[in-house]
Amino acid sequence: MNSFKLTLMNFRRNIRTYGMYLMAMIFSVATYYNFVSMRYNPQFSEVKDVSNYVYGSSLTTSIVMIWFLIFFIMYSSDFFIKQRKREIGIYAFMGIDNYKIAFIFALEGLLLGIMSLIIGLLLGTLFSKLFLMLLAKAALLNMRIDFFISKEAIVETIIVYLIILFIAFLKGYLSIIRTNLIDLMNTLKKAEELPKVNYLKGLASLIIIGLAYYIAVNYHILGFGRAFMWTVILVIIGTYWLFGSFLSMIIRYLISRKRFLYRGTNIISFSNIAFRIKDNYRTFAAVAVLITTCITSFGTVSSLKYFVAENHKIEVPYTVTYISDRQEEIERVDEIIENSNHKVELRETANFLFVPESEVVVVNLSSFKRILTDLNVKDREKLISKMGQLREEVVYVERPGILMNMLEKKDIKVGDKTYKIKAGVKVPLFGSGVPFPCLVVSDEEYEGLRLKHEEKQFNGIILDRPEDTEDLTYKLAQELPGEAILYTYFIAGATMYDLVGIVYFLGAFLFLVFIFATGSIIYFKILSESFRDKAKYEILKKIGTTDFEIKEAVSKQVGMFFLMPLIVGIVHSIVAISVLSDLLEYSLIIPTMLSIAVFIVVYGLFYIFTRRKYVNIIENQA
Amino acid sequence: MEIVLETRNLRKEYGTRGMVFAAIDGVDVKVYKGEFLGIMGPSGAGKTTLLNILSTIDRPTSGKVYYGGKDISTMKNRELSIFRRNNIGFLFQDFNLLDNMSVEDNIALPLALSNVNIKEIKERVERLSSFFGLKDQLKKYPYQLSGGQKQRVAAARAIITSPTIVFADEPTGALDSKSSQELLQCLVKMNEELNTTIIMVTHDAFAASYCKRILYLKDGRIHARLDKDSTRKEFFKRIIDFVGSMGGGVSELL
Repeated sequence: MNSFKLTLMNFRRNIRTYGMYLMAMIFSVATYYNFVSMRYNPQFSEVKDVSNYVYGSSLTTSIVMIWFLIFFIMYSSDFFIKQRKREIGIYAFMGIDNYKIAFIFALEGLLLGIMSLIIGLLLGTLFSKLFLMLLAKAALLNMRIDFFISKEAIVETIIVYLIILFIAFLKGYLSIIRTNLIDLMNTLKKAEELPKVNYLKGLASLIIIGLAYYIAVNYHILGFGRAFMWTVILVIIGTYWLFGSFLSMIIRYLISRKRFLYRGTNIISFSNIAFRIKDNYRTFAAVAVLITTCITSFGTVSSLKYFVAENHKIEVPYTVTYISDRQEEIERVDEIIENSNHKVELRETANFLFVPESEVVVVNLSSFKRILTDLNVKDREKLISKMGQLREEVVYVERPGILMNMLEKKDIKVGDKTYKIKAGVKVPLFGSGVPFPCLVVSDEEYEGLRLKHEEKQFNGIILDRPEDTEDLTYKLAQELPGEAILYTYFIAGATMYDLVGIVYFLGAFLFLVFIFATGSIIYFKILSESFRDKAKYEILKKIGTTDFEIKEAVSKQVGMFFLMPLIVGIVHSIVAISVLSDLLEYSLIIPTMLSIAVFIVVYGLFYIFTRRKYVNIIENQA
Repeated sequence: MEIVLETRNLRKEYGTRGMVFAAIDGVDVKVYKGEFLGIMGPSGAGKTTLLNILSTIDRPTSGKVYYGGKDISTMKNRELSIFRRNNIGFLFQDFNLLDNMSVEDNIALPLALSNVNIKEIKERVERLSSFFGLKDQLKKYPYQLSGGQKQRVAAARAIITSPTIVFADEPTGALDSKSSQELLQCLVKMNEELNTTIIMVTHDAFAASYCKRILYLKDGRIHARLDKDSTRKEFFKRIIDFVGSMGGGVSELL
C-alpha cells in the first residue's frame, strides 16, 4: 500500500473527528472570499464615495482573517497530532521510517485543508449575494446587487489558503520527523509536576493592570495617543502575568482551603486546574486579550451607530440651512420650497459673527436661548440656568460632527479680546451647515464684537418628510451661490451615514468571526489536554466515581478554563468602553451590554461543545 | 462467623457463540469478616477477572455475587459506583494515585466525593496517615514519593471509607523486595488491628505467605485451598511445594 492510499484511508476514517475543524475552516474560507470579493464587485466600485471605504475595509478584514487562520491552524494541528501520537507510534514500531509517517499525516492535513477550501469557496460564492445585500442594506445604499462571482477573489483566496496550508503541512511534517519513538510512547505517561508560583509576578500583574486602568481613565494626563499605547502594552503584560502567576496563586489558595476542596467534585476539577493553568496561561491570556478586542471593537462600532443617531440631531437639526441675508435669495428659497410638496414645520433665522482667525462663530445669548427653545432641546432649562449671566465669559458649543470632546483650552481669543470659557457643551444649534465651534456671549458683548467682525444671517427650515429632499436640494443648489453654504438632510445622508453603516456591518461581522476564532482556539487547546486526563478519570471510575460526578468534574474544569479569560476580558473591555464613553460624552451601556451578551451566548455554545467532546474523549476506552 | 462476600456458581465468558472461552468457570467463594484471603494461580487462570467481578468493576455472565447477603447484580451503574465507593477499597499494582493531588487529598478523595463533613475527613486522614507512617508526606505529591510510600498512600485511600473489603491486585508487583515486605506488613497490620477484610491477587508465593488462606485458581476453577496453620515461613514453604507440584516452574513464583 502506498502512502497516498494510507492517507486516504485515514482521512475517511477520521472525517468525523475533524468536524469542528472543518466547520471552522469552511466558515473562514467563505468569509475570507466574501471580504475579498467585496473589493472586486463592480456595483460597489461604481459608487464613488463608497468604493474607497469598501476597498479599505475589505483589505483590513481579510488581513485579520489571515492572522486568525495562522493562530487557528497552529492550535488545531497540535491537537490532531497529540490525538494520534499512539497511531504514529504504531507505524513507527512497524518499521515505517519517520519521513514516510510524517508525509502520511501531513498529507492528511493538506487534503483536509483543500477539501475545506473547495467547500468554503462554493458556499462563499453562494452566499456572496446575501452578504453584499446585507452590506448594502446596512450602508443604506439604494442599489441592486446581482449574483456575481469574482475570479480575482477566488484566485486570491486559493493562493492565500494554499500558502497557509503548505506552511501548516511543512510544520506538521517537521514536527513528526523530529519526534522519537520513545517520546511518542511516553508523552501521555509523563508525570506532571506542580508548577512553581511566582508570587512577585502575581502581585505585580495586579499593579500593572491597575496602572493601565488608571492611565486609561485619566487619559488627559499623558494625552490620548500615548495613554492608549501605554494602556495596551500594560494590559497585555499584566494579563499574561495575571494568568501566569496570579491565578495560580488563587487556585493554590483554593486547594489549600480543604473546606472548599473537599466538597464533592471540587477536589477533582481544581486539582487538575492547578496543574494545567501554567501550561495554558499563554492561551488564556491570548484569549482574554482577544475577548477584550472583540467586545471593545464591537462596542465601539455599535456605539458609533448609537452615537451617530444621537449626533444626527446635532449635525442636522434642520432640513435645509443656508447663510444669506439677501432678501431676494430668501424669497427664492421659500418659493422653491412652497412648490415642492413639503410642509414647513419651523423657520429659524439668527445672526452670528464669523471670526476666521479663531475658527469660531459667535452668537448672542438671547438667540442661543431662542434656538434651543425652538428646537425643543432636552434639558435646556437646566443648561440655560447653569450658564447664568455671561460677562467676560463665553460658553463653547462644540463643532457639529465632532465625535470626541477633546476640549482642553481654558480661554479663547476673539479678535484682540480674550474670553474665559465657562463651559463646553454639545447641543444642536446651526448644524453642519456652519461647521465651526460656536461661542455664546452676552448680548452686550455681542454688540461690541459686531463692530469688528462680519455679521451673517443663518436660515434654517424644518420640513416634513426630510428623507425626500434630493430634488429639492438640486433645485436649491442651482439658485443659491456657493457662499450661501447650502446644507440639507439629503447632503448629510449622502456623505456620512452610509459609511457608518458599512463600518457597523463589517464590525459586526468581524465580531462574529472573532468570536469563532476565540472559541475554536480555546476549544482545541482544552481538548488537546483531554488525553492526559483519560487515565485519571479511569482511576476515578475504578474507585467508585459515578458517571454523573465525572461529568460534573469535567464541567467545572472546562468551565473554569472558559470562565477565567471571559471574566478578565469583560472587565478589560468595560474599562475600555467606559473611557470611550467618557470621550464621546455619551453613555454606551446599551451597546456594551448587547455585545457582551452576544459574546457570552456564542462563547457558551463553544463551552457546551467542548465539554461534550471532552467527556467523549475521556470516556472512550480505546 | 459473619460472611461478608459470597458467590454462587460464577461464570464469565468471553468471545462469541461457538467460540466461547470461560475465564471463570463456576466459582463458589465465601469470604468471612476479618479474613486475609489470597488468590493465586498461573497467568491466564482468571485471577484478575475474578477480582474484577468480586469488586463490582466487571459483571459476571451468570452466577451471583452477594455482599452481606445482598445481590449486587440488580444494581444500576450509578448505584454500583456509590456502593463501590462506600464498601470497597482498592490497591492496584501501579498504585493508581492521582498525580495532581497531594497525598492528603488523594487519601481524602473518596470521602470528599461523598461530601463527608470536613472535620471528620481531616480526623480520618490524620489517623490513617499516622497508621501508615505518612505524616511527613501529607503535603507532597505522588511524583515526590517512592514506590512503597505511594502504595501506602493507596492503602490509606482504600480504607478511609472503612470498606467491607479491600481488594489488592498484585500490590507488590511494582515494588522492590524491601518495600514489598513493608507493604505486606502494613496489610497484615490493617487486617489484624483494624479488622479489615482483604482479598489479594498475587502470583508471588512470598506475598501469598502473608495471607491467612489461599485459593489456587487454574483454568477458571478453584483448584485447591491452603490454610495457614503455622508460622509464615512454613506456610511459604508449603506454598512453594504446592505450586511446584502443580507443574508451574518454581522460579516463576519467586
